[in-house]
Amino acid sequence: MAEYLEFKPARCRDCYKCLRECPVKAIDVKGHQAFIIEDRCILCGHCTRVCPQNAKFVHSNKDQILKLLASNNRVVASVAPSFISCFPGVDFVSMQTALEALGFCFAEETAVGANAVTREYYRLMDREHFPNFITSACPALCRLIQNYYPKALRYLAPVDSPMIAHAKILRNRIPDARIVFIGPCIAKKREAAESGIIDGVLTFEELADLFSDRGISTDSLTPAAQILKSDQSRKANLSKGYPINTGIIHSFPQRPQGYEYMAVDGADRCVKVLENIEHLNGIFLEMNICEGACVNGPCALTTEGGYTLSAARVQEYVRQEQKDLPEDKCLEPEKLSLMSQYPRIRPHGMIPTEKEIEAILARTGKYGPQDELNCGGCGFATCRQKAWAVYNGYADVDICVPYMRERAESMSFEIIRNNPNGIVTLDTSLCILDINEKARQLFGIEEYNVKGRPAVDFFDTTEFMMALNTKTGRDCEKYFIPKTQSYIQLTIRLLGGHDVVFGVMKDITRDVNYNEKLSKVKMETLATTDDVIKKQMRVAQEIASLLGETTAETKVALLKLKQTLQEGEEA
Amino acid sequence: MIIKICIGSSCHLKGSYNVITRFKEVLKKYDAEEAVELQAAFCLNHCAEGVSAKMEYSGDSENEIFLHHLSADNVEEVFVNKILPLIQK
Repeated sequence: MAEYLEFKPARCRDCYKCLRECPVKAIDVKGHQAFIIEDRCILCGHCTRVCPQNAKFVHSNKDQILKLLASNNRVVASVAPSFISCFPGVDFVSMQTALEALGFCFAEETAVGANAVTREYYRLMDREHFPNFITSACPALCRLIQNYYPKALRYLAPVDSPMIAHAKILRNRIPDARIVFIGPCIAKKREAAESGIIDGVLTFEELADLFSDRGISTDSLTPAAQILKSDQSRKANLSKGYPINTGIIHSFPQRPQGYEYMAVDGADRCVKVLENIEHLNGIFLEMNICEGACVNGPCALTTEGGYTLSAARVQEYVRQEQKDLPEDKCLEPEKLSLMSQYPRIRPHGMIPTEKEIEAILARTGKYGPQDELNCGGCGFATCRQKAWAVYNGYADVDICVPYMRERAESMSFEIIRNNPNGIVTLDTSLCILDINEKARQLFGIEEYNVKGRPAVDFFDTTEFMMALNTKTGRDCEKYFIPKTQSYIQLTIRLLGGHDVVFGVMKDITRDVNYNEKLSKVKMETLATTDDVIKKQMRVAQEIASLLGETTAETKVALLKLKQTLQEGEEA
Repeated sequence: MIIKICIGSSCHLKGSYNVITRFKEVLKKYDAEEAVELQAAFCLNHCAEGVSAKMEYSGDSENEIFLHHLSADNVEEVFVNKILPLIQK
């Protein structure tokens, strides 16, 4: 919510408290930081209260309003009646004076508008019978119905909120007025901006800041200019009770017959009523998103007595009014049209099909309804709601507490992590689901976060693909990884209904290298032996030939000698 | 848009009752109950390809599309792929 409500970065600490408390789950927890999803948020402001880090802040229009006050325009303040509980001991006359000191030309209570709204409600309910009637004074409630409970739209009163009604009345009376609403509400900021009739909204917190900046103290002031002061307040205005629970119900001088009058406060209770709205009949529902209604608004000034004391102050204020002024029996509607349309708003976001939800649930080990614990640990009410958020990119898949615990505690997980063999698990689209340290080393993966990324970016996935296609495991005795020059023995198996495949890799690089060296030595030795034998043979043959030659020569010489001797004897 | 789901004998045996129940759930889930009217129809003469259904949109009988081989399991898929784009136009 860039314009109205935002989270301070870096103070968010993964606690999911805001998400757990958010009635419409309009919070996106991505990368350990929460963001508000603008078009889903109803601006109830609940998250601003529950955040333990106080990391949420409301965008202020203070500067813009100061500029407006400094200009030549006639700036009129419409002050929500809950001022009485935020500035205890201040009556409206001194509030007016204080506001005039700030630069407002005139101030009036929004209750004037609320009174007109009550009369408009009366007119509608008296004229035709509604199956149910939901008050439209709370802008966060209107947004809740418009966004999430279209079935309740036809019961929502087609009437302006008191703020808009009052602005219309003021504009009618003072055509050139610039109107600033002052109240305890964040949602009014959006309502005002969208209405186009209101120039700005100040919260009571901002007003208190302005007072202290300017050194204005509300209790020491006495009324200065009584001339323009409201002439409407001659009669008791019961609508001053609007900011408390049942305040609207009690603002009717006379209630239309045929309805049961119920007040519902608090976002959770409102949601419960709206979920069952079709089973209700003949009920007038005064609904307020804030527990205890507007007096407990997110930007109301808190008192030590809590909202009970605040409500008591408002009640006392109304009773005082009743005592001092004559009763107002008027039921005539305002001459202006205070009708308003509350169209259906469709928040963005895609709806996952059953199969897609199942696939997301399976990623955190949920394979059937028995595994869906709906524990709410992640902040979502149900596992399916979380799956929806994951599908839309509003949440990380592994924020599931039981899954994280199981994974952290499981011994097999430790065994896989510290295994001397490399282990990698891939899903059917060959993205890495898990990989252990040894496998990273074998594949030479340096990136830290590879989970969910396609395995093909890091290694050759042919074998895995073939295993998936044939739906059978594969064994590979010797597999070479060129990147790290390593050899592995690769075993691939399919897991759980064929949607996960895992590979176990035994590092055999050392064995392979040793064998290679050994055979090299053998070959060398063999070659040397051959050489020696050849040489030996040659030497033997050479010796033999020399011996044969000399023997032959000796034989010839001896034969000659023998012949000579024989010839000598005969002669 | 009107969707007429066949409840003839053949389709009935192939589970058109479950298809209708599932259709109702899906329409609710996608908030399309106003845009789509669900009706039952007698035999649409596509018995071999049952459960079958006929979509009529723009109030024009020219604009008819037959859906075949429906089952409780694929209703959502068919809805998302074939019907939702038409009603979102």
